[in-house]
Amino acid sequence: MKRTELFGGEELVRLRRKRKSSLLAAALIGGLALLCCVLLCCFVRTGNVKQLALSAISVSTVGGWAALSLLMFPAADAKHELRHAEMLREGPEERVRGTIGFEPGVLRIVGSIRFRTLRVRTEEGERRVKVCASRAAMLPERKELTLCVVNGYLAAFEETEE
Amino acid sequence: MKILRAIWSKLHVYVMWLLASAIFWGWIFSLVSEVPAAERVTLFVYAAECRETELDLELEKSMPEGIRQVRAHLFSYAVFGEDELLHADLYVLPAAEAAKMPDAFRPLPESLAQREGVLALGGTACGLPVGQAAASFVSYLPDGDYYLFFGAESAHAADGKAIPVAEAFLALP
Repeated sequence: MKRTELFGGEELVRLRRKRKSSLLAAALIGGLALLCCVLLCCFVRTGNVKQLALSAISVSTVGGWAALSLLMFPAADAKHELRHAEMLREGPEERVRGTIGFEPGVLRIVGSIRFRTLRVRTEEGERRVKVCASRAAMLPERKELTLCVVNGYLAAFEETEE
Repeated sequence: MKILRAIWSKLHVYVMWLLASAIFWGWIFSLVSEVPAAERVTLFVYAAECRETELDLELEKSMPEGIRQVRAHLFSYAVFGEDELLHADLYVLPAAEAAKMPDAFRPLPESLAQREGVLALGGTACGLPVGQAAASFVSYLPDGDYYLFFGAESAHAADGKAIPVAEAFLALP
């Protein structure tokens, strides 16, 4: 049996690096925008106040939008996935064996990860397991697997080696 | 498409940032460009139109020592009663308007009172004839006989620092 962790050591390192670099890039862009605006303030003369104010507003708006985008998307996603990975590592594991198939659509829990729902046909019947959407592609479609489930979320899966 | 949808879901954050940025930097630039009244000569013009910034730049070429800014304003009833209007250093008004408020102006300094065509209000020489001075910056009202006055409450009329600015205004094409 080959076990595949959805959030293995390498993945955690990648997520931490992604979060750190996004935060750094946001801080850098924000800092540069602020510096530009402060520099513009130093060149204020009677005839150019309106133009410089407009330039500063444009720079701070665009720079702020870029920094906010980095904070709201890559940094926040990485943070949510890291928290999710921590929950998977700490929770009690349950094993489910069955044939899997994805339900259509991706859902998002506010302030947490985006997930897809996995339908698992077991000998006892059918049950649903949630999978972090960014990891869903790791699973083979319509195959019999042993799923390691923590609090209703897929943490790992095992497949027979061929 | 996915990116656009994500941005759309956070549109309120982007709009809020734009507004906050405009308000914040607008305020900062108004603070940075603000010069204390003691270092500023203020001129109010009663006319149809005035290219204020260009006039400021021209008059600033003749600023005396201790003055860092000249600010010209087009008179409007919105500023009526405001401190900046009441304490302005110079006024450019038609004689008919000036005659309604003779106490708002101080007598002309001796160096200017001897000029030709000065306007006397209440027996005191108060207004210097403007003619078509600064007509490239100011669109005077057609029926106005314009004069330049020194404000009664002006600090720079008292210390003489408004005089070079007044002379520069009268010399403008």
